Amino acid sequence: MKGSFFRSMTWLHTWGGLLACWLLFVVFFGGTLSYFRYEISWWMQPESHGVVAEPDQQQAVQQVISVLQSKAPDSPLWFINLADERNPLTYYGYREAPQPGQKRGRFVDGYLFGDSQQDGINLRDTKGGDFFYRLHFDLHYMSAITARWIVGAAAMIMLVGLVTGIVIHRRIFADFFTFRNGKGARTWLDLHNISSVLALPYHLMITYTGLLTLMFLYMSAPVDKVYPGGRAQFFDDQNPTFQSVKAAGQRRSEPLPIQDFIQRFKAEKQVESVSRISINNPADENATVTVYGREAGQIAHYARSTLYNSQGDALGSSREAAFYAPEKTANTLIALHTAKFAPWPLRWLFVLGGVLGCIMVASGGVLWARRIAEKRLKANQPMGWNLRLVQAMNLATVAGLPLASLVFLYLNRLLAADFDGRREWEMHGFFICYLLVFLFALYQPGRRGWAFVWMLTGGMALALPLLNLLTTDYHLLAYLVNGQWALAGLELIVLAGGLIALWGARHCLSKPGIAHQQNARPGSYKVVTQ
Amino acid sequence: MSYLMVFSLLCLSMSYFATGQFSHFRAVHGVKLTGTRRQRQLLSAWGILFGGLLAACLVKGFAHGSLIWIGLLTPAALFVLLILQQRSTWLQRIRVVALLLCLFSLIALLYAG
Amino acid sequence: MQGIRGIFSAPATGILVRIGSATVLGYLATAECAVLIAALLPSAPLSSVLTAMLLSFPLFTALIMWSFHVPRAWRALTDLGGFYLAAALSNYLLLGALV
Repeated sequence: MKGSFFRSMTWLHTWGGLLACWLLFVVFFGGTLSYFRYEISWWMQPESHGVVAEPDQQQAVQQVISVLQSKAPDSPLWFINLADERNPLTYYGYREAPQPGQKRGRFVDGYLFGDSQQDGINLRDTKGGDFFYRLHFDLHYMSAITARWIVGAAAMIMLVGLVTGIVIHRRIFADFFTFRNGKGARTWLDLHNISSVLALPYHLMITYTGLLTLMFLYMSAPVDKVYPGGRAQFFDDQNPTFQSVKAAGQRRSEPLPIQDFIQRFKAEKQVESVSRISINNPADENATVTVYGREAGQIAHYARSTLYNSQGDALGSSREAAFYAPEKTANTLIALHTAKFAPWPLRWLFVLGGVLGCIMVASGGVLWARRIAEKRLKANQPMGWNLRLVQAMNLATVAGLPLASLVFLYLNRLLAADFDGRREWEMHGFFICYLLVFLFALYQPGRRGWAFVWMLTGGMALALPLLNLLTTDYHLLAYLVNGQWALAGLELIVLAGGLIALWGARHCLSKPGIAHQQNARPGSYKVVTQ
Repeated sequence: MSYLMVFSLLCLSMSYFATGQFSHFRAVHGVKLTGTRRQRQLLSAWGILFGGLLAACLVKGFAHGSLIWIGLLTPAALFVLLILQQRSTWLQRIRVVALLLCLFSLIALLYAG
Repeated sequence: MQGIRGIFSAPATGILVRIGSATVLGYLATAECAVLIAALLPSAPLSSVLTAMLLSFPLFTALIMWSFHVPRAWRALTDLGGFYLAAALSNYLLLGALV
């Protein structure tokens, strides 16, 4: 296009980036918060903050099985997620037998509180950290598949943006340590470069592996057309524990010896603990049990699993010893995306990458607006509605999403714990806040608008520990004293984020720049000469 | 401890990469960067960079070691950038501190087994 | 000929042609090519299918960049279209069915 490779790639980088940047910010933002998915969920159910977990895994399994036995003896599926370092409570779920006209029964879940505390604790209903996790590829208010295609398109644009960004950035090494402060669009370009280049391995990895996590949706042609037997056969062959065994229709006489299965599994797979158990048709003669475990230090997660029938014969077992090289590669790459394996120091390095990703996308959007604003100012042109729209989207997305997340956390504490729609309304609150910030940003897209939203965000963030103190029986100091670092950490991070937001607000107010003079008076698009 | 060791090594490496550039060398040392000096800076930078990778892999194994190494590149470069931006004359002192921290963490690692 | 060139040199049409080629033709060509790779690789089906899927995303990226790089918009159409047809034809000959 129009001459050189450099120019065409710049065009693609600029306009592709602009098209996808707000959605990509949502994805990066939600994805980064997903590194703290379980911690956010824990914080959002304060009823569980005082619960002492059952430390012994064997005891926990025994207790949770007896709970399931009493609650859902005829269920077609039991599901158990055992407690680990990041999840203090054992989680269980079961599917109710389908009602007439229903394909599948309702899924009911709960937590195990240990023997003495079994009754009298009702955890409030909330989507918790899963909200951000789902948001970053399923979006909201639409079908998951549609959303995944949209996010996939954005991820492809991100990948193209990264590669074109590398080829058009001719001074990668020369500009490696360069940041020129207070120079308008130049400063934003430096920020864009720094946040992209310094975490480039992370950005490439997270974008590519993000596409890989859903590659059976995005690029299913090879497996559908080439693999003998198609996709279903592929999954059966790839993981032999996926096979389903039909119920016999006869009730079992004695309970399943799940503890024995676990012992066998640990010995055969050489793992120290079990992470997950799922039981199909527990009451039936043909019950099957799948046990999952993770070897400590292994990067690819769920590397080990075995499917047992009710007699304890292994029907199928994960083939980690027989993996083909591409399987190992794909498993490792996807595990790098989810980072479930990462211990805390490494997890924080991933978080840093995610934050730089947010800054990269945000600074790209702001840079576009600044460039256009400076160009139109120089040419004595009116600023135009399109620039205003971009500026408003920038403000609403970059500053609005943290604010909306805080609203989400606030609603979690302020809505009555037994209010039926609370789970939904926490999320509605998030999007209503986002919409309100967008409307405000259309009216005031300049520096003052940014300052106002940052100030609001900072204020709400700093008041969050206070809110927790007033609405629950716990507070930040108690978490610190009890060594509940996940809960204390969440509030400390929010506090730190609040301080940064306030600094941002001050920064926006201190230097009235070009954009501010332009946008201080809504409706007036006449140029003010500098 | 291994994180501290790799991080200080990478900071050291990044600082030499920075002083391998003309503008930053002048800001740190106050004199002009010459060709041979430039080569020496860059050589130490690359040497320490891959030394860091080797150390990380030796301590943590290849998979986790290389991950930690790549992950720590970002904060190390950010740190050096911050120093250059705010107090470029401190860079030489920072190098001494980084070297001491590296030795300290190495001893701690050896001592711990 | 002159008339066709006139249409394609209009900037907006050119951009639309490039976007269309990059997304539709680029995706189809990538899918066909991935099928071809999976069919041609001599390793076990499980392995070759996964390899093809892993390689497809970088390939798609390259095709998108190509359709914006070529100096004239119609080249995006012909290059990616040709690539798609070639891969589809090979698949037809190799697997005996249009994918």
